[in-house]
Amino acid sequence: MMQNSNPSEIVGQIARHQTRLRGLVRCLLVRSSDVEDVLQEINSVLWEKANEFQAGTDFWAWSSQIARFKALNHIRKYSRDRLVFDDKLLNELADLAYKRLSQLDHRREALEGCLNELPPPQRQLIDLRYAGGHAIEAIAEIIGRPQASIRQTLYRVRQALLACIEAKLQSEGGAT
Amino acid sequence: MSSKTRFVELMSRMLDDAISDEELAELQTLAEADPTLRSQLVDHLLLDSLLDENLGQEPLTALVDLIGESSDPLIPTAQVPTSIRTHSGTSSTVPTRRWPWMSGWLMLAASLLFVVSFFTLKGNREAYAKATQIVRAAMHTHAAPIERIYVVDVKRGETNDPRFEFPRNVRVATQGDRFWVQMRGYREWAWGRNEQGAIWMTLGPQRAVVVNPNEMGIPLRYIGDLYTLNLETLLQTFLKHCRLEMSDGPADSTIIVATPRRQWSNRPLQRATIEVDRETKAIRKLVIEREFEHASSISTFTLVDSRLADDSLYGPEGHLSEPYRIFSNETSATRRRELVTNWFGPTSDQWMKILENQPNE
Repeated sequence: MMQNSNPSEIVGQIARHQTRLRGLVRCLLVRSSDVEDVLQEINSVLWEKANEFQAGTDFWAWSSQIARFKALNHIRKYSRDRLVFDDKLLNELADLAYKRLSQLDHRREALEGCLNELPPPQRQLIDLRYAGGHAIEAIAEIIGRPQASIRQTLYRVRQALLACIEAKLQSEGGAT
Repeated sequence: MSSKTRFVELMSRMLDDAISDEELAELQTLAEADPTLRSQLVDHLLLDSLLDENLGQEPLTALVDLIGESSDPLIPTAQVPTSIRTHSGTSSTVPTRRWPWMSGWLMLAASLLFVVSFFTLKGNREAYAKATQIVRAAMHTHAAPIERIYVVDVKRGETNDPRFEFPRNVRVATQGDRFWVQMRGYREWAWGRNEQGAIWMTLGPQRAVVVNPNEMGIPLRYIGDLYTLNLETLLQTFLKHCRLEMSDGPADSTIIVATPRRQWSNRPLQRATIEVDRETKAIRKLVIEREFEHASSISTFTLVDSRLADDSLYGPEGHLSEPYRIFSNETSATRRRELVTNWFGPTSDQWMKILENQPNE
């Protein structure tokens, strides 16, 4: 007979899957600043539905379905006053995201190494954008370069990080 | 410009939260037409998410935060917010190919600037992590079933409408995310908010009215904004949307100043300062500086008492004596406004507005 999961196990599972849940939500939202709100809502729903989760079954399979449904619902609400992707693209992005999410934890580990290998000026840009939470205009002011140039360099740094992550995963045999 | 180049440009704008309606429509068209571009978009969005999580100051969400504080062994350390990241193994060589326009002196100056900003950023991240930890600890403390009473002092800016006169003796009782307020002046009354955001207020010992958010006139909305103290929500807001700076405070306390980040818009909060007791992690003092549509204000909440929480006081019932009556939706807005005006006097006639097509009118 199937058994319901206990609360501390569910909390542990939710915590363990934050990276993937966040990744899934990010792939569906235009604005990164909306991610936390949607993720918070998903966590609350997972917690409320904890009784429905059967211990010993695949938590990710269960939670990701709820997360996808909840995120799409949220996005429909957002569509009244914010920029959102249309439904067709959203579903395609969600399908693509699922394929990548299974190895997201490996990617995260690889990213840490890749960040440490960045040349200092590139690392500084990434720190200003993500650790400092600065908008492009602010970074342009701090560094004294045009916004377009900052945006272009950031894109190149992100490309370099993606290539570095792929290379690390390949060398460790972790890529699928 | 090729579609791939244009796609990269638009995607960069999106990742940097600077894309317009038209540009997003263009990005969608390009992505829908080409599966490799969709794939590229997902790769970048996932990287953006990982960078935010690894380096960003966003905490894990409330549920995880609270449980994380309780040192649950089920939660792996990898899930702890990673704002503190040591930056080791980086080359000190500035790659000249990337910065060809720099002369030797400029290079030296830029390197020095980088070294300074690197350590500043690292220091900032560590300081931020400590401040975050203290705010979370305060949330944990205030979630306990202890009611804390704060005396409230409000200073209003020059832009305020002089018609608003509020009692000088105001106390807010709070536990977790709940609160109720005792106002003493010409009248003594209590009020609070329900989960729908409606304000309930007592009119003497046997009557109370409930005013829905869409029925609130400007003065009542203003009172609500000034004295509402949903501590848990407020502290979550600090964690999610504010930069936090920490310093030592008086008598074994820590001061944390929360300033909204640039990207967070549509908020009245300008700055908040909290004084947290180092031992109990309770908030001793909270100063909130806000800019509302027509007024600015500084509300100071000072802790004066702690006691076991009495749940009944977080609704009107706990403040009334039998036989009492609570006038809510089933009573017309006109009648409720009449009751409010009769109790508080003619200056309160703007507290409630009567909507067109009001039910029960």
